[in-house]
Amino acid sequence: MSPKNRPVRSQVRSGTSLMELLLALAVLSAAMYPVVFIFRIGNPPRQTNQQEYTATLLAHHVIETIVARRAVNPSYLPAMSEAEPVVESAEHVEPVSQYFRNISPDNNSITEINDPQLFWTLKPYKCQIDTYYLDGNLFKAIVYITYQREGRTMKVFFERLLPQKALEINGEGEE
Amino acid sequence: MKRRGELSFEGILGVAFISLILATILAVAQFYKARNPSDPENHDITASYNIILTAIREDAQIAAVAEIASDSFALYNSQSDLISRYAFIGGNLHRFDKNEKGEILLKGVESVFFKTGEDLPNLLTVKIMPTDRMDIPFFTSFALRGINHDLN
Repeated sequence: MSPKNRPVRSQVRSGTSLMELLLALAVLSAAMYPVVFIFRIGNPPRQTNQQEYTATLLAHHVIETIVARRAVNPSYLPAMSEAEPVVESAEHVEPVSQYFRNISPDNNSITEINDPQLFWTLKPYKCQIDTYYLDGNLFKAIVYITYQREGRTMKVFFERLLPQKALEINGEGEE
Repeated sequence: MKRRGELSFEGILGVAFISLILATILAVAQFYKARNPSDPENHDITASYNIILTAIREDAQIAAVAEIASDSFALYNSQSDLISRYAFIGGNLHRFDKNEKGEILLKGVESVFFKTGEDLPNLLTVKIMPTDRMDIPFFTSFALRGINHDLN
């Protein structure tokens, strides 16, 4: 190898290394996408699940309250309601949903004072009831628990069919 | 020319392939753990809550009366026979069946609160606060359907 060729070869080697580095980055970047995707599906977001789970528990509470009220008074049918908060807060102009008015140990609504931890957990949620009269003497109640996530309103709903036999017999209306 | 200290194209592909395989194995392990609530290292509290929800729902189907104490409640059927008892003991929530055989339903419990309504004695409200403040509390109610089987 002649001394004249040395600088030229050095320049060629340097160019190859840079290309290899770029190639390595490109391949590893492409390989990272499926890795991130696999991790995403393998580990569902905790907060999303917990928010949805809390909404499910609240909807369960409302449906069970309706069932218990009907056991005491078979003619009871739930009333339709707008989206109402489930805890008492100065920020809410609407009244607390009737299904959450006596759930604290002192038989009142949950407030920041009587149960701070539960208050902050339940504050984002609202409860709405839709009702329908159906053929066959059936009454349908749909319980919506709504909350905000990333600027979007999310809903969890439970529905229950209630027979109206007792309503007809007693001639009583909706409470 | 002898190359030293540089990865070949095959080497890069090999590293990417091994990364993918390792990530897949880790993701599968994580997926398995998330669906195995008995795993003590599993921090998804909703899986444990599901066990509590299912257990109390099953008992409430046949229960007519709930007897509430400060840290426990017992469910009885319409013949006043014990169905089950739930108790907060030593930071854990236990369930005891009618033969007093116990099992731990949830570990790491800070406090519990059970109540039945004054106007609705057949509605059992359960609140469980976990020790880890990052976890959600458990709050829901159960209608005791043993009084009126038509409700089921």
